[in-house]
Amino acid sequence: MTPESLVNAADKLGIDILCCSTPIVKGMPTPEEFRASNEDLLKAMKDYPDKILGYCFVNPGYQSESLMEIERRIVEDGMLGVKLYNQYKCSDPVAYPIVRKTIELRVPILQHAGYITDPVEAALQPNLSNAYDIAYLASLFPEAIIIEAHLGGGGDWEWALKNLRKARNVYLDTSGSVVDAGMIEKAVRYLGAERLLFGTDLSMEEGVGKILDADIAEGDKQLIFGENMKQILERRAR
Amino acid sequence: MIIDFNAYVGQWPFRRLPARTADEVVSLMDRHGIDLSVVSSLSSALYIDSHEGNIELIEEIEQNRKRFIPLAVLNPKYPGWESDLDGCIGYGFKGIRLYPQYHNYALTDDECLKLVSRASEMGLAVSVPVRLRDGRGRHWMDSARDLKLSEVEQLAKRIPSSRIVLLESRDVANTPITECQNVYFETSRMTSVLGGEVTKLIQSVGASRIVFGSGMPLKYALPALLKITLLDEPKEVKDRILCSNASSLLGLD
Repeated sequence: MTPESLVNAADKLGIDILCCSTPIVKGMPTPEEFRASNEDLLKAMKDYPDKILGYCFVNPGYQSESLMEIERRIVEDGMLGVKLYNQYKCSDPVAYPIVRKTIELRVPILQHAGYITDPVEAALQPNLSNAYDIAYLASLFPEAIIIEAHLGGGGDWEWALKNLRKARNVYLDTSGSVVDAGMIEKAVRYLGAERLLFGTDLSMEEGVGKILDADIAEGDKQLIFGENMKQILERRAR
Repeated sequence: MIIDFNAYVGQWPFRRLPARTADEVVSLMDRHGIDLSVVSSLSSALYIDSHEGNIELIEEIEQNRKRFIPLAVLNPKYPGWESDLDGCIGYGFKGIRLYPQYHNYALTDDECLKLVSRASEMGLAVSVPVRLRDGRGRHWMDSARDLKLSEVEQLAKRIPSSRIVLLESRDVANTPITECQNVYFETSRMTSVLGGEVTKLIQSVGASRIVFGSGMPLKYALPALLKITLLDEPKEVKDRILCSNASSLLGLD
């Protein structure tokens, strides 16, 4: 998959802007590694300035380096927020300085997450954050904007909805390959369309199709497809 | 015309579905322009006697018979499947669907080979889903495995007269199973605009062994439809996938 093929696919599906990240999904990436990964993303942003926005990926275990990288990528390079993966649970205090930094910069954190009920699959990501962890983090930092990633790729999505219901500063993106019928309708019932963000996680037809197919109001679809994210992006500029 | 080769009617105990009855599934079909759905009983996955689900299915679709092509769910490990299979012809079933993950057998078990052999002698197509749900979020009582391609491949080789429609598969293009001329592939989980698996599969097996399916009502139908409608392929190829291949397989021509 190249930035070009991703942009072409987005064009076919009517996706105007891609909010991308380039997390290193195995091991404990060093500062050199996450900087290089962000550099790759920055190149794609420069190649497609009207199409690709970027989240800055860091490993919170390297606190000072992560904070410097966030400052540099967001302030100087115009990235839109921070991506955290599964190196640590987001409720681990090691993540708190990162959260404080995003509050200062008024940008969101996109948190890779899931509640994997299959024990074999779950063992593959021992530090995977889940909706409970995210709701806890959100309660500690009510000014933070936290996006839980991939409703449709994080295992038991009904469990996630129940845990996020009262976490008002948490958004949920709808991405992932899972297209269980009724998923989007229930997400709207539990969180409200105002807290849902359209996403694909590279499952392109699934991402678009499940929103278009959902039995929800047209206005709610517009919120999910872009209006909500637009507000998050505008928040930084104010 | 669109034929959906991967649809269900019935109860799924692990999650509330937006459509369970035949009428509700017909409403979804109408919404998506799907003319015919190849359905099996979802309830049969967990009924101890899966054939009860077949009878229930026939009763359920009675009022909408022109919109459904029923497949019988048979469990070759449960007594009486031979007479159940014979009875299915009278009920109007056009093929069989196997749920080995839920009925606790392998496709290469002797009893399954006998069932597939006999169904094939009767001219019935055999469809098998790799899975009915994503295992990452499975219910704690639902420990069904995903089917391995190698198991399907072995079945196809052991019963070369069979016509096996593999549902819910992905990452099959350029794998050994594509060399089995009696295996057909349903596209709902394959990549299309990004990754291009459907196109690669067309290039590797030809358009005649690929069928459209949605997974409805377990899944939204539109993602699967987009995978075909957005293909950079001639209308003739899309029509084969959306309709005529399924029609030939089921003897509807």
